[in-house]
Amino acid sequence: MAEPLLEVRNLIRTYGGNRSLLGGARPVLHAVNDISFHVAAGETLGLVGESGSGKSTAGRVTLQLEPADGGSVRFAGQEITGLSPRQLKPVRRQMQMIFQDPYAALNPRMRVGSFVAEPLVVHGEDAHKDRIADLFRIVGLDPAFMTRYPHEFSGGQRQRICIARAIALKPSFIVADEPITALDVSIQAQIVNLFQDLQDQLGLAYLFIAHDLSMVRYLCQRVAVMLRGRIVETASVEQIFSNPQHPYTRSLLDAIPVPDPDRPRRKRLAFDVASNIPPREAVMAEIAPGHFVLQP
Amino acid sequence: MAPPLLEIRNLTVAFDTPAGRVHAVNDLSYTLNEGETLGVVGESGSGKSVHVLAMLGLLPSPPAKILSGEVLFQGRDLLKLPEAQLRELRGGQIGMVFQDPMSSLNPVLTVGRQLREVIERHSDLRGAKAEARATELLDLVGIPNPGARLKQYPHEFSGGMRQRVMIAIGLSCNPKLLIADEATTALDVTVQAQILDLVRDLKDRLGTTVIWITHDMGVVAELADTIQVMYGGRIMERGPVRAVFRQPHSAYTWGLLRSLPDEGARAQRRLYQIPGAPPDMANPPAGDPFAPRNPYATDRCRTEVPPLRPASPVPGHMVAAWYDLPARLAAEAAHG
Repeated sequence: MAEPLLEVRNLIRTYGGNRSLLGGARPVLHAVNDISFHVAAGETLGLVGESGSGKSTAGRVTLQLEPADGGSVRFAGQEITGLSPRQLKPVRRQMQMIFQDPYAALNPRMRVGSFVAEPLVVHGEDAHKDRIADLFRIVGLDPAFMTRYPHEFSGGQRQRICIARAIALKPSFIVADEPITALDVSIQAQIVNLFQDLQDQLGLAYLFIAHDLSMVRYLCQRVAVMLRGRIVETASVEQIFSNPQHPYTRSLLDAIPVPDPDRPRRKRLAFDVASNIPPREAVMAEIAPGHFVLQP
Repeated sequence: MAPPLLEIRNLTVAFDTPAGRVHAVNDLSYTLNEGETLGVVGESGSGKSVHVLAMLGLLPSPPAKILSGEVLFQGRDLLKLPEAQLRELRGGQIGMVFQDPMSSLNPVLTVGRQLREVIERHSDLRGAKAEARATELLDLVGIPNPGARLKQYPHEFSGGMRQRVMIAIGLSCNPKLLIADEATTALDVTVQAQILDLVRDLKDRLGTTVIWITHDMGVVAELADTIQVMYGGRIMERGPVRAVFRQPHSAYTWGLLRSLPDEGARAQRRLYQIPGAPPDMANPPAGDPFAPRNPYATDRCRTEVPPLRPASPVPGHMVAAWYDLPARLAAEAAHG
């Protein structure tokens, strides 16, 4: 089998520890604790978990926006942990990030055309107006908007602007961290469809970070479920939905509010995260081809 | 028949902004019966949050202005009530839970102190009895070890636990009416599920009347008896949840339900998308506010605001639309 586009092995990211300015010991938090996953070219992997599960940190470390404290990240056959900023620069062209809050991601004092062109300028590429206009068209925005400022746009339009910037350098991989959570419901489908169109046109691979499974089921081919810094289950969407193994995966599935008033209501079993922190010695076992579950 | 618990008549709320007067709620009228759970669905500018803040006297004026209307709660007009009496009602007969639990709790007071304050203000319980009630409430909303948790400060609680505290405060005086505005939106889905279970449980046991404001059709389907879909400061459709979900008569309701990611969408690799963006309420469209985004809009929709009219034989199923959506959809289906 060919090597996947992205291969993350035993990734660790810790915060705190004995680094306090006054020399006091601070507890070490393993935000990302020995996780492994891969993303094939053109594929979408959903990374799902509750707030504090480490899913966003995992996304940032994968892109080397934060350093790893252990493990490896191979991208297009190259190990990228430990690279210097200069060595990382050509890799960064290939990997981009889209954030949850398109209001915070934009620079309020920069015209949106310049914002989209910025990565091209930084990488010494042609940032001619025509090329920016093309990017605007690809994400469904009128190129005439280029000279405007962020406050003139709605949330959905702002997210389109962020997406235009992210695809400017023709990346092969994008980490999208809850990219529709902050948008109005009537806008979410527009942005999800745009993600799929871009994948079809540009062959993009996505790491789609989400806190609920309903959109993941629709958008992703495979899913990894995170709990307290660990991946507890990873499988195809079909496997996760038809045969969930880990109790936390089951509780996530059970928690999706179903928009069908005819479905009988039943009380759900509470899953207490605090008493179900995966033990350190737990290892993943493959219970079916491509279906891995953390074993206690 | 018993009189409704809440009756809103012709409520119109505007904000005076540098760009001019913005109408956030336009001539809104509805009634809510005792024991009923109303799910209010809407997005930016729908008026779903503003109308409850207005009726509770929680909108700062200026810039907000209630231009007209009555809000009758158990027969009393809340809009004419002196602030002192309104304050008695809020947190007493009317419990409230808002989206952001961090900014709703006082960071320098223990959670127990804040709960006790509400209990002592609105009931006869004092001292150890108020403390016992506070413990009972935390236990009720599923916070483990409630006795010890009462002595802690808000920052010692996770987001989900803080929101449970807010719900405990909202429920502390066995309100007749519980109003929750996106109360579970910021929570993890597993915590949201537990809170929905809890609210269902309270309805069954105490007969609490609920207004649950959300953008999530799934939450409405799980919790509500009646759904009210709002857009541009108006009700677009309202009715029993089953009737509205089964056959929506507003193109907006229909679009919201169709854009949900279901199995069919996965097979087609395409979600139905409502075109356009929510209206700029400083420059609202003339006529039906949803008309610019509605593929079934008629000329009349673009000029004249449609009144709420009976939508189907189902009692209480109302729609504000000049077009006949089921007929249009049937015609489309017949033409392939």
